[in-house]
Amino acid sequence: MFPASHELADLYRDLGPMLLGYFRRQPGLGPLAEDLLQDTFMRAWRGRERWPAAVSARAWLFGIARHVRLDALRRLRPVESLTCEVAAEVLDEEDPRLEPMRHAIGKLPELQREALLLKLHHELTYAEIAAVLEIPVGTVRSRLHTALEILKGELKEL
Amino acid sequence: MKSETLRTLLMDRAYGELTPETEELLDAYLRHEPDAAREARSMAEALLLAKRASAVVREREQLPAPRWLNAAYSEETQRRPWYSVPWLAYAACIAGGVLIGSAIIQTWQRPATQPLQVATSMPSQLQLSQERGGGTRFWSSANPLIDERAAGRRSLNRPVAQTGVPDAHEGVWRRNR
Repeated sequence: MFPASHELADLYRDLGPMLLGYFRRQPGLGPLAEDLLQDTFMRAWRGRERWPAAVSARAWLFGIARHVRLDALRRLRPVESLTCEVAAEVLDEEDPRLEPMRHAIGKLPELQREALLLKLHHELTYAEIAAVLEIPVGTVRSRLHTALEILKGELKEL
Repeated sequence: MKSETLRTLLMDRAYGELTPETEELLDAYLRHEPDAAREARSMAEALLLAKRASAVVREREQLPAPRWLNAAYSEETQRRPWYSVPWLAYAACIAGGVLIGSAIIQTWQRPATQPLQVATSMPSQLQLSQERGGGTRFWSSANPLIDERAAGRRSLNRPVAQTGVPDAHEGVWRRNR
């Protein structure tokens, strides 16, 4: 059974903020976040027959969002760099360790950072991240463990 | 427990990927292993800090109006067959009902038709052929043209069955030779 438009509208209400945050968090894509969110749901509507086969609605939508993000980055590639650091627009700047940590996250390989941000901010499970990134669950675990090792090492130096 | 196994379990715990039962067992283990407990705390702290450091948006994001929904509706209505649009289907049902109903009413109200006239006299041609003793069908021997050809062929000793379609000209040519 394919989702009807009102079911997808419910998902927009529930998961829209998370997806918007996902796009805002992408280097160079912050100003385009709202358009990318609309694009994500339009693509979700067109490919709604694939929803039932997904690990979860969240994983399905994040998978689409990832493709939207990659397409947008491909269009922006001449002017934006993939290796730019995580955007700094946090509310709480009291902890002096935040800035070095931000640099550490920015220095993470793209594949590890992508998995880490999906885990930290969207609380996706290993299986959901694997579905989003289209990689095996073991690879997700390995990437996240490596990222955590790096961040923990960074924290020790502070 | 092997250090590598413990490390993997601690990382999975920090990411919240352990089942409740496994987490409970690991917590019990950590209560007796201060070094491992310290490692677990540093992992959790690193992740918490990373989360705060990479936070870009506020807790409640203002969601823009779902523009995609308008596009989805218009695409859907363009793609759907006419009968899946409810008001069109209802209108079609009502129109069909009215047409069928009016047809039934017209049938009931139509005046009784005159009975068919039965012919009481026989046509003159039919009478003539019957007088000659033949049938009324076209290929019957009562047809005067066929009778003539048959007579010519019989005189040349060529039965009609061998020659196929009777041909009056061929018969004449053979007679002249």
